[in-house]
Amino acid sequence: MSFKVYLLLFTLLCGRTLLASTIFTPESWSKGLHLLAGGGMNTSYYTSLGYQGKIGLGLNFKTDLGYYLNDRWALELSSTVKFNKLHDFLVWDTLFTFGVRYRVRDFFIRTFYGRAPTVFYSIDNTPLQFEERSVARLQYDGPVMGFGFGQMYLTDGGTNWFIELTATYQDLERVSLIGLKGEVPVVIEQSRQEDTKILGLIASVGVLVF
Amino acid sequence: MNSRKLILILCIFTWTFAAQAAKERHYLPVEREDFTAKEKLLNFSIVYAAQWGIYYLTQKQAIKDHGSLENYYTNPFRVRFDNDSFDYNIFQHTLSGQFYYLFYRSQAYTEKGAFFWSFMSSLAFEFTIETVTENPSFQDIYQTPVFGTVAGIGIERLSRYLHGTNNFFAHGLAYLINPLSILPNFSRALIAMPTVTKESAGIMAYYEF
Repeated sequence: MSFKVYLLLFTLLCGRTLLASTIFTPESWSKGLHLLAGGGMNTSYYTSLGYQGKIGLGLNFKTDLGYYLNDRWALELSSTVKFNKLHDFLVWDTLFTFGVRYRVRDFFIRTFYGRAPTVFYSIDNTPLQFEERSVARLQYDGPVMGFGFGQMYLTDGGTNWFIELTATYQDLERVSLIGLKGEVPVVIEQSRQEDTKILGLIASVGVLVF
Repeated sequence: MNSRKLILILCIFTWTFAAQAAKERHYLPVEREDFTAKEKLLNFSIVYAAQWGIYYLTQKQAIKDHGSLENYYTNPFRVRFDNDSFDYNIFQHTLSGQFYYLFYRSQAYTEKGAFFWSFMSSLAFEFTIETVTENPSFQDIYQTPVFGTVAGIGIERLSRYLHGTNNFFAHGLAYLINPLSILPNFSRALIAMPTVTKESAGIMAYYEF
């Protein structure tokens, strides 16, 4: 089933969620729509001819918009935005995923699948071949999957917060050279990629927004 | 200082204070769940009209260069991942989503209600306005209402805290970061009274700033 269908189903599900209203705690999830947001650090291992064996380190932030089916299970749409500095490039990665979350006491595990646009900005020495062709950035695109586990806590003030460790696997199938026509981005050239992967490890801390 | 740095500083400033502000319960907006269909339609239409206006004003050149009626009808069926820059996808869409959220909150929607309607307004923009020049994008559909709601909750709590300090400058700053808190749903008062004498006629007004 395509990402569009997941998005449509999730949107329809969200439309029914305003009825949910019992109290959410780490050991007892309330049914309905909930939003988690947080941030942290990530490290990513790049495998390709150009970046073979390179490790990036950077900040990230994430949101998990979940429909909690019951006290144990939730379906969620997530976005994890992560940044890495990799030599002369700043890598801006956005993992859009659809997944499942399951609770065991105050622990949770989750698994997800989706797509990830990954953008490489040249920050120092722009390669000559890019400069000559007015390439503003490179955008990779491909599937992403992963799993995570974490624990939720409840403060005295009633705020639910969590820590989470997530592992991700990305296959960058396609690369586009992006130029600019005024403010509008245009694809100068697009090609398939072979054997370009990113393995990521993400540590996050965050809160239940609602 | 460029706009990116300014927005980043504002975000850090917001979140630094948001945690403290969350503890304050001054200036709680009134919340309702019993909106009539007419009220929902009116609120949605206000946002929709503002979206068209702002889109036209800010994208006049792009509409002239790349817009067409054919785009408008065909683009909604070509949802894709866009190639936009960090500025557009993270900052500008979050800012838009934040204002959707703050508007619905100013009209007494609950946090979840304001999020839901921000989501609907964002969909309306992606599928029935921006299609003049570009395809709807997955990044915008998700990030505009979700990131906008997270930022909006922080801004609202900060503005509520600042309003609660009873300091003139703090009030000014609160209106600056959350202009929609000037709308009557928040707990301030406007009292107007006509005064008529033999020599003059006028109106006395009292507004709690």
